[in-house]
Amino acid sequence: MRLRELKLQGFRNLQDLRVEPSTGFNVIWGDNAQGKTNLLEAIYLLGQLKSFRSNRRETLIKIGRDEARLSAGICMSGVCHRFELLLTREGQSADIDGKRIVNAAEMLGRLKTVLFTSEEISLIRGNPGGRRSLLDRAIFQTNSGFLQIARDFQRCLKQRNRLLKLAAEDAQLRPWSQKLAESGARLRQAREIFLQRLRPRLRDCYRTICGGTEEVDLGFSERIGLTTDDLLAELHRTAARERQYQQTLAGPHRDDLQFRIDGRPLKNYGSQGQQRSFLLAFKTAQVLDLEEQTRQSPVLLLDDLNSELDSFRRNAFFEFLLAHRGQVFLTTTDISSLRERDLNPIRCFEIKAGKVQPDPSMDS
Amino acid sequence: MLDSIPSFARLVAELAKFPGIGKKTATRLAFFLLRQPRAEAEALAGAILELKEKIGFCSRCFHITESDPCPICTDPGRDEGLLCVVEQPQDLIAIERSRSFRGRYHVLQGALSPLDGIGPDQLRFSELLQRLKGGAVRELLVATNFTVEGDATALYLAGQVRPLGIRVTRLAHGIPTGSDLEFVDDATVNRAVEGRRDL
Ligand SMILES: [Zn+2]
Repeated sequence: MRLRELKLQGFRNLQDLRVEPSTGFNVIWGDNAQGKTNLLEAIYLLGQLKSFRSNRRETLIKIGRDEARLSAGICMSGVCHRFELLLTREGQSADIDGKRIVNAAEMLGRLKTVLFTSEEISLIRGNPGGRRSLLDRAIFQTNSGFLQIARDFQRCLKQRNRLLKLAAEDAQLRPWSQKLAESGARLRQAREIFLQRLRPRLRDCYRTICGGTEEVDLGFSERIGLTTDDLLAELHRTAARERQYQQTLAGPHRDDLQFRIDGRPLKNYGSQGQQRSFLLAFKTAQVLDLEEQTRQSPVLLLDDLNSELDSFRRNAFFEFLLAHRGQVFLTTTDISSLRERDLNPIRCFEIKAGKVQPDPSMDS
Repeated sequence: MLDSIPSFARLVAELAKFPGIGKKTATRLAFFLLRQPRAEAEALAGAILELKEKIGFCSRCFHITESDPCPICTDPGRDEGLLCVVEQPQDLIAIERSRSFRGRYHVLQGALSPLDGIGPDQLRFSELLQRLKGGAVRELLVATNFTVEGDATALYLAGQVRPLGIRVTRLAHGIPTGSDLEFVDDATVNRAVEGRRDL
């Protein structure tokens, strides 16, 4: 999967631009707060239709402009497509090859990206919801049916919670409990299948890239039932408390996904370095899994990773990147340390006050 | 620019209320009507008024009809023992088109959706139960949509109807006929695999 061309108009602080990235490494460099991450964000948006930094669309549109237009030429499985995303203050619309996409799911996840950003460390440290979303986003990339499963479950959950708020009678609640259990079981099964695949890779990646001798693992904090009947039994057990709290208290929306190191939750027991290593290993394992499942290399988006890693992990990670056959976009403030590495082919883009200028001296 | 021609602007505004019709299409339709002879415009206006005057809901099945009870409810050639429940009149029409069902119908006029304030009382549930208590129906075929709401409505119905000793069936779902498996969306394949049966 390759980005051949990227055109941005009215996006964030960036001046309107058109770049032709390298098929290998693309280094976006410059001082802080010049707009480097905005470029990664634009690529991410074309795949996910959602930013990793802000839920507010209007912040994506340049001040003084009515709309932002993102356009990319993307080659996948030998065919090139034109992806376009138009953001206005009222809404967004997407086109592929000039045809309007009616159902966002048709475009969502077509351009596969894996984002590496230290900001996601907060997900490891924070509440279980953040860790579940890290997992769910990874699953969705390999399993397009997962989106519908997750949406059905969320819909059932909202409907059922409304009935609990209204203190509706059992006869009305029952069909929603059944649907919640069915869709919840499907959701848990999809998560479990993914976790089983990812675990061995995660261990390998942690050892080779992070050099850790610890045993890392991830999974749900308690044994969770994977069948509709299991979930119905859980709902039955919490029924009285549900009535009291007026919300659904059992199900995949409450499952506590733990990232563990030597059997203990990383959240409480891991050092900052271990948490960083874990996240790096998780993402690397995700890339390898995605390559095996889809037989395509995702586009890697690395946000200022260099400054986060010590020299051992940096060397090991660059070895992984060099072995990786896909396209990489990375931002950095320190281009000199990258010059020493044999990154090839490479293009560099310097960003100054939102303006991009390719630097011919670094092109090869 | 339309403001200077109020009668034209008014028609465009009315047409733009139609589902799937934006201002651009509405303007095109208005120009089309403008070019039409007066008789054509009167025929259209008449058809719309007649629709509102003549069509109501059948008091038995709640399908749209010009006569009450509707022709389906009074058709002597249909099986009284079979009753098909759908959400909307257009669903009934779709099943009739297939000519695969020769029983009678009941239109709920919606599906359960607590988020939209729709419970059993907002639908034609009690009328359905009344019909079933009449004793003629052997089997209830639930043909609500295959959405979360349609499924929940089907489950609710089943819970209410089973105690009456009536068989409750659900429309099967799966791969559309004439389609290649490789082009069917994942969610449909998923459900078809789950709903597989012995050969
Ligand atoms: Zn009728």
